[in-house]
Amino acid sequence: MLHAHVTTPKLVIAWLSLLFFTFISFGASRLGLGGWEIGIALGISVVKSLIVLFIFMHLVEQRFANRLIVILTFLFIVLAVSLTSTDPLTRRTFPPRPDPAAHPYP
Amino acid sequence: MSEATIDADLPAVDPRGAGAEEPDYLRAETSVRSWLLTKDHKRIAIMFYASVIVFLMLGGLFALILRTELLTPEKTIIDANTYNQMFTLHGVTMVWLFMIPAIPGAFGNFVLPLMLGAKDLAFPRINLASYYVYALSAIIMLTAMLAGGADTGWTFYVPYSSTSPTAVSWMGVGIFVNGVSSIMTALNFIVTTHTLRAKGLSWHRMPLFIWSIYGTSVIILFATPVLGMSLTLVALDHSFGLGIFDPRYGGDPVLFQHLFWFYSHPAVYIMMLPAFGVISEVVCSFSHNPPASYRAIAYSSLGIAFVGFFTWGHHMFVAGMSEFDAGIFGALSMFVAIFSAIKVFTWVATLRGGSISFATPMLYFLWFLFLFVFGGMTGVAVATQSLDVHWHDTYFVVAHFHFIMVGGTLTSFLAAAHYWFPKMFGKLYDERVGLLTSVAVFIGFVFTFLPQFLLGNAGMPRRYYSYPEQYQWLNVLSTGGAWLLGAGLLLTLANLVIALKWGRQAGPNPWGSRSFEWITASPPSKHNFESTPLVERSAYEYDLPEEVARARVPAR
Ligand code: HEM
Ligand SMILES: [Cu+2]
Repeated sequence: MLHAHVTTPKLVIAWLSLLFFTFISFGASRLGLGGWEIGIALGISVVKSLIVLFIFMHLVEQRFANRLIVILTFLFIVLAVSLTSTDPLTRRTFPPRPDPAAHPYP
Repeated sequence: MSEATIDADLPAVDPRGAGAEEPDYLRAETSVRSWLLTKDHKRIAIMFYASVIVFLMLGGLFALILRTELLTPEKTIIDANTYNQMFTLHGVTMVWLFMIPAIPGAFGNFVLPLMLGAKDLAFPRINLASYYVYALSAIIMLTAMLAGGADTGWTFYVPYSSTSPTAVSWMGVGIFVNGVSSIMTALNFIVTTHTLRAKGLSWHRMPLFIWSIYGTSVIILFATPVLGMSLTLVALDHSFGLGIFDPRYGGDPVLFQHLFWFYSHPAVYIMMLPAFGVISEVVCSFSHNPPASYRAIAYSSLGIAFVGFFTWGHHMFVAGMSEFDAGIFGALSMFVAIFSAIKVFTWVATLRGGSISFATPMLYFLWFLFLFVFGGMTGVAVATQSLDVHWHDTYFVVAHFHFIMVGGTLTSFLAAAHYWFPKMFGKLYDERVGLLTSVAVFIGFVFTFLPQFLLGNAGMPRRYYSYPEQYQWLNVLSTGGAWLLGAGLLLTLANLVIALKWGRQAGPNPWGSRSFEWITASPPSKHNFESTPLVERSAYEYDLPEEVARARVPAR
């Protein structure tokens, strides 16, 4: 992969697929999937960022050492998101909190 | 070491240090313009140095006002609103304008290229830009202070920060800009370490300071963007009521705390790792001994940088986070102690069998060791949930983090200020006065913060303007200590400023160190080394006689 060059047709294809995924995430947000929505939206944005990184930012042309940075960055985002989301997901170990959003002015 | 190690054909080395025949960086050019537009890492370092000292004094002034207010249970000198703004300004100034940039900006910039045998950082222009971005951030924060300040504390917790009538958004912008500056510096350090090491200078020959600056830079790159983003969101919430964190509109305030501490816990290591680096250099130089385990010190910096990212939730035990998450974070937090302990034991073991000279930096090492170990153990204590519920938001926490942050960063900043003083300015400071002011700083420090552990344990909350009578005597002790600390710092500054003008000339290597920055003349010439040196030894070969050690890094 060291010399995989990013050519104009590839850029166009990447751009079209970004548009495609944008429509998909819009569509998914209208389906009313409840808790799945966040997961799907995150999944789609991961795919989109990978396209941007590898094609538009020319990461496919790089050595592994340089890609490693991106991989690590990605792992850090996974860390932040996963430990943060285990919090709301496991908050039910106690009686559910009052939801201030439902009653904004007590 | 035996004669046999002395090669017959060692190149001749200028006893005045490499580059001594050229004018030094301070005198190479003298116009104001040559300073303001300089791309020389050494001059940029001096600019950072001067600025962080100004902000240390400003933050210190705020602190003294706070402490003086707390001298009596009710109003002493300022009203409650001013008090709230004052502790915010104190925190913001100290964290973002002093502690984070201090050691990397002033000493990292100065010695990192020298230690690597490089002529400058990889991106000299970005380096200059990072100074001006830092200055810009300071200006933005200062105008925010004049435009009504902020009264949220340095943590900007929502929901209060999204409704506070003060200039929260503007302050957030200032911190955002400040983050840009640290990212620029961090990137520059990383690239420089990768690409500009002198010939022969492998990763395991580098001075330990570089390892810690490198670790710091990695944390900055991963953590600082998260802070910028979260504060931008707070500013948007505050200015436009977007409701991202504001529960009135369905936002989640605990989410803000997750994001904030995902930066701010690692940020404490952004402040501490450079301190560790300084301490490692000081310990080896003044015990004239190689580190007991080079790798243990080097790798534990990376280890701390890594596990520091897994522990942020320990700031949120009582914030409404789930019990499950709190359990995970409590357990993960304990791992940090392992790497810190590795460091402490290795430093102490380094002293063994060394010939120790008790100069001022070494004294600061002792203070550092005491404060860091004491503060670190209270950290493990507050990371224990059952205890934290009792201590949370009391003065105990204030004492914990001041012990470790101020104790760690300030003592090592002062150690560095004395240790590299001869290198930076070519003069020697007065050693007796140095030792004396160092003792004053330490005693002042202990009197300021030790009573706060007791206050917190007795239940005095932090960030309160008034308190019941029975807390007064401890507060009086603490305030007295603060004034002593302030006086000690001013005297330290005076000692160094006097030495700047009247100090004795320092040779290239007054401490007999083996680290590479001491190969150049003091102060170094504008381009450090005329040509890239060839490094044939590690930075700690104290078993070689000094002339041989110097010749092993021929800077021709
Ligand atoms: C490297 C040195 C350290 C520094 C610079 C540091 C700094 C800080 C700071 C600034 C705070 C207060 C934040 C606020 O304003 O609310 C704090 C709180 C805390 N620290 Fe540390 N810390 C260090 C080490 C540790 C360690 C090793 C642990 C645990 C093993 C720890 C555990 C805690 C906990 C649990 C709190 C929250 C206490 C509370 O608010 O109830 N710290 N620390
Ligand atoms: Cu923490």
